[in-house]
Amino acid sequence: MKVLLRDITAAFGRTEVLRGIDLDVPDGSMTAIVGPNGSGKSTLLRVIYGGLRPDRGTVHIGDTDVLAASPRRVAALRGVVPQQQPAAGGLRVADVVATARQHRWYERETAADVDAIGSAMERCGAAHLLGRRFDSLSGGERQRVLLARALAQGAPVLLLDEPTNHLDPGAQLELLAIVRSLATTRIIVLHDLDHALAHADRVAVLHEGRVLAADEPERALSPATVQAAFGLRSAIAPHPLTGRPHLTCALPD
Amino acid sequence: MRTLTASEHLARLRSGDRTRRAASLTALGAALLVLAVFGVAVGSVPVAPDRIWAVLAAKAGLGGDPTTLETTIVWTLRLPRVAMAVIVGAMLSLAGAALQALVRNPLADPYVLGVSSGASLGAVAVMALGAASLGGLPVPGAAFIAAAAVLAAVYAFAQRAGSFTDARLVLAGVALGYIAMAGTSFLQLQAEPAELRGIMFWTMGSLAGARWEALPIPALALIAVGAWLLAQGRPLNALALGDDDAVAVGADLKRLRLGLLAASAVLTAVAVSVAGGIGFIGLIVPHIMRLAVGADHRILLPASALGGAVMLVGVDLVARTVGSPNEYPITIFTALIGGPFFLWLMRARDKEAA
Repeated sequence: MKVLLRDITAAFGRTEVLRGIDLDVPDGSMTAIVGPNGSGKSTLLRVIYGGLRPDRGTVHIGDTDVLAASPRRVAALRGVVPQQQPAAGGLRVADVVATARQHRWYERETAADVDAIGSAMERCGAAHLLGRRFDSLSGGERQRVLLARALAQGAPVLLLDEPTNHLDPGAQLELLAIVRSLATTRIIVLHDLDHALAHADRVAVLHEGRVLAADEPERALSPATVQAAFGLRSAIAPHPLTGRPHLTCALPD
Repeated sequence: MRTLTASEHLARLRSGDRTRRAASLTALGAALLVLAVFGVAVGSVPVAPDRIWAVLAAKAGLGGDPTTLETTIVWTLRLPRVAMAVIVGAMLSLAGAALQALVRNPLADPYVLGVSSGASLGAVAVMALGAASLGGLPVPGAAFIAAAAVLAAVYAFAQRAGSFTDARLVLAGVALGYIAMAGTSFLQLQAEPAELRGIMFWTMGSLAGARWEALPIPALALIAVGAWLLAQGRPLNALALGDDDAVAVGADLKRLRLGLLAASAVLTAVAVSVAGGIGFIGLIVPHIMRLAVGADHRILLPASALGGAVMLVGVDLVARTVGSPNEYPITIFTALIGGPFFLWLMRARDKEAA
């Protein structure tokens, strides 16, 4: 399912964080959003999933106007892995993931709910964690569980806000590999430009609340764009281990 | 042996959950029943269980031959008192469990919103200045109005850009609570020495005045608000992880938070207006239940309601028998009994986990 953003403008008090963002996310693609701190990446993702109401602009998932639809309807259209919070509350993993299946609050879990949760947990390699306490998990395990929760919503679009934060390199690559293997439309906010280059089909570079480039990864992350957005020198060269394009950065001379 | 699929694993987990849920709610219900019988039987004049039955049978028109004294003690004095303890205990712990989830703070209790301090101010104003000076308002009425006024002020100060934030809610509640407490202390010093004991009882909680006429409003509030709250188990689980997590899974965040705030405020204000400032139950019972039945709000909420009822019936029994015929304010014993029990449970769970 396509995601279309038009003229998204949002401000915190007097500070404009997003200034007229237009973005088309093709059906089934994995689109990475990158940009320096404060460029509006996470704010933009929150607008798409309904965590923040923009001052202006429209968000469409398929034909649905997200800003006009009910929270329940929106939850059927997109799953979300929000930015990681310190976990608390002592809930078990099974109960955390089960919150995804609450399109009807009052119903108890049906066999379909149990199947959706079970297959999402298997898909994320987290089935063995079901009975554990969520706050006893490692950062990498938690992100797998939250990814499973998003998948258990059964929505055609998946939104991820910096899911690799606080993960060790192995856990980062494993998580990205799972996201990469999915068939849904995915929008993922990333800090690591090389991850965006290696895993995404398309990359949008944000700078001061505007889209600087939105294109195939190698074009969107050209040295000129990286220079303009981050003030860094960069080069794309074959990865010494995998041979695939690899982006490295350096501070300016 | 074939390994289980995740769905089978989850289905087993859930069937275990259902068994545990039924077992813990049954145990709490049984404990409540036993304690309630004790609550009616024990006192300065003991009444044997079969005589309680005789009073109930006579009231139901099924025969029975109670004496007038037995009828007065059981029907007029102790039964409404035990019933009020059940209702108020359930209200305070439900409100505590909801608020702890709403502000994601384990120290939150029904009084963090300043509601109890407001209620105390209203009640003490009537007691110290006399009902006539406030237009003949009875103590519970004054307590409820003052509690509602403080809550409205807390909500107004916690507002920002159309919604409230947790930190502002707690800060506004604490600040306004202290202002109301200062007013209460000031009024207490204006009171006649004879009135001071009554005022102290009220501010530290008492069920001594419980009569049948006082029960319908709290009972209705508990049933209506409690039914709504018990249906919020899954949204509360989502909210426990964070606001973004609740939005992610489709909760109507603004409506949910406003509903939780209103629900806990109504429960607390009504409870305080009929029983005074009973402390500690709303804080400790949800924590005890979290240790006993787990953090899933689908079981935590009903368990907290029952646990709060059990605790208040028990504590009220102690408060009125330990120095019989004198009574003590309830809050002394909620902390004296609940505190050590909680610490013991916390230690026991640590050992279990180790």
